[in-house]
Amino acid sequence: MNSKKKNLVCLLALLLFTTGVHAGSRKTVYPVVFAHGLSGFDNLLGYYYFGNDYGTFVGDPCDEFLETACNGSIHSSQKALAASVTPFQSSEVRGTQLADRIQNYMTSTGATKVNIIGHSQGGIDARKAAAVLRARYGRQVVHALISVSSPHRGSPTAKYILDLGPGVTSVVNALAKLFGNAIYGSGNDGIAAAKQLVYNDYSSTDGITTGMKAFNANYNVNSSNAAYWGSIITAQDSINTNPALYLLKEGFYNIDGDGYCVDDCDNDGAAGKGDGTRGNNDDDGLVGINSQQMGDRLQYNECAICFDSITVNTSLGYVSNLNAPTSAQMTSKSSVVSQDHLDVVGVPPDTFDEEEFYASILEFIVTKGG
Amino acid sequence: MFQNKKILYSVLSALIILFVVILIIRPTKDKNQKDFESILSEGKISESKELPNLPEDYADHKLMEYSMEEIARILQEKYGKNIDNPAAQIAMIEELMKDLPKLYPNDWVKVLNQILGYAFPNKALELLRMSESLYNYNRFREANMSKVGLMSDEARREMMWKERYRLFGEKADQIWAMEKKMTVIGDSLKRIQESPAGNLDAKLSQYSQTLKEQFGKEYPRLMENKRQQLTEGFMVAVQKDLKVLSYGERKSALREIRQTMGMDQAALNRWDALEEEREKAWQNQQKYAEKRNQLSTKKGGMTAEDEKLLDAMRKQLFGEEAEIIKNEEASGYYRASDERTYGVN
Repeated sequence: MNSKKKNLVCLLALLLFTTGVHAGSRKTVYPVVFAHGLSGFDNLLGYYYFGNDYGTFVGDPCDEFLETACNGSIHSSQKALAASVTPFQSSEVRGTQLADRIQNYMTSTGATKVNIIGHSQGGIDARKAAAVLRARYGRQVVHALISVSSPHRGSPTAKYILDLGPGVTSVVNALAKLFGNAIYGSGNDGIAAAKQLVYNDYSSTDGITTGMKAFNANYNVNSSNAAYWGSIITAQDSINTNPALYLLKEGFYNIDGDGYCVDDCDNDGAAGKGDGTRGNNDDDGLVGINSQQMGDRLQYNECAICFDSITVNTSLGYVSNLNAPTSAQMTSKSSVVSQDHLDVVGVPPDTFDEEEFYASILEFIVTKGG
Repeated sequence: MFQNKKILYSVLSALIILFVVILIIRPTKDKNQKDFESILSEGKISESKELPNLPEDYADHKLMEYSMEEIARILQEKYGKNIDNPAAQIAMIEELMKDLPKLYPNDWVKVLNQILGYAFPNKALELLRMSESLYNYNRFREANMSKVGLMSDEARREMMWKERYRLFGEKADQIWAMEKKMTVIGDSLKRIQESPAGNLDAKLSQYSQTLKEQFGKEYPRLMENKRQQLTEGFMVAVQKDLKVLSYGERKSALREIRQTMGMDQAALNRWDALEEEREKAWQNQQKYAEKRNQLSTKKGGMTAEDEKLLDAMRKQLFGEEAEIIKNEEASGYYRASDERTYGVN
């Protein structure tokens, strides 16, 4: 083969590799831990949060061609864990629990590192877990940390519930309405969970410091805790939002989440201030877009005639200090996945293909060395 | 009299208008449901066709990259052997129903019928009926989302199974086979948890037997993928038994559980080391909590000197985790007050 032909073959191979043209995702180097948000699982294996309606977890690979209770879009040797923590608690508590579960998994399997995909509060817990694991092992344990729809800079819904806004009679009832009855189980603390998701310290008189601002300062994006940080952002117009997210009949689900200011200048519970227009695709029913970017902003490329893929939106830059993103990072609607907060997990309506969505994240993690 | 008649006519007219409005706005079947119904009532399937050769590299591509005839040929290859199995049928239908509506938003049901007819002419109507059931089941789930979230586990299960049987008949058992298996395992763990302390070996044997019975030849694969989760589930269920044991007895019981769940020697050794580390960490937590309690409850509260003392103690007892524990306490979380779950934390 002459050098021109060789170069052409190499170029084609490179193109195939970079465009991800192959059967679903490749196997990640390290196992992938799925960290759930508020609310619990239907059973101990966590099938339903990160799964489909037939009892299949999106991290379960198929080992035979015709096996059906598995995710055919991931590699047949993929290793994954659906970690389960207390459904309603602060991320200080849940993050430590997540670190324990990951340590248990690593001890049982001999894995030396993991990747974490965290949905909603799971993405916040993951930051704490990465710090705890770093301290326990004396080295970096988490390779890639990807958050999906996580309120890194708070959620106005949490503050609305704590303030007992119109129509809310108790914090617990409001959370149960949004997330189901797991909150009534022992060990749950709905108030601690809600306080966690408000940007500022919720009360100056309770003797404790809660909220995302303090949490971010303690567990910020940090290369010694994880090698790669990225986030997927969701938002949808209210007409398509899952009715389960409607806190009130009148509709406190439509957050104004795409204006910029330093910290929470309008005291609505989330950093930024909104731009005065609620119904413009700037929230996913619970979290505004100005709260969700951590590290790289990732773009989900959904494709009906090819495998879905994830790429980095390089134009917006990297959020390394979670308490100080730029105006563009808080307000830009580019690369926002048009789904509501619950669409990206196993909650109906089921037009979203969770199996392929998470497979595309796994493939992306492979490209980042995880 | 005339006046009364006028009122009567007005009321009747209003009622007729109301009736027409109700007829117009009442929940009706959507277009897709109507398409399903129309095709199924006609009982017509698309004419069989000679299908092209199987594309060589089809496994590396999505179905939708191909023509309808090629898709049908790929479906024959992928699902043909198991096409009588409802779980395989539903997997195939789902694969089609994921992308067809995106590509053919207005007539995807007709395209689906065409592909099924090309691929499995003798089963096309049965498969289309199942597609209709799946479509209606997804609508049912969507409509009942909020209601289901607030139900007890038992009530939710009952409601979902009732609808599954209504739509899919006995095939529902095979379609939701994995869920049924996991429910049996969950129920078995619940019974173990609720039973009195004692007979740990018998409980372990019962649990292990349940797993093998439920998964049969899939058991090794299940354990390969979920050994830790299944082991942890059992550990949580037998806390009553583990709590009454001495440290040495408990260590050996935990080892036996892990061994029975198939962990190899290397894993057992790693667990021995972690259990020792955790035992020490819990003792340190208690020691530290006592000191903190003593300092914080003394008259006048904690001084700056006391804070320094606690800082030093945290560093000495918890090493690199000391700073994290300090953060936790500032937020109101005290690890020492956590419930210890042996074998888990």
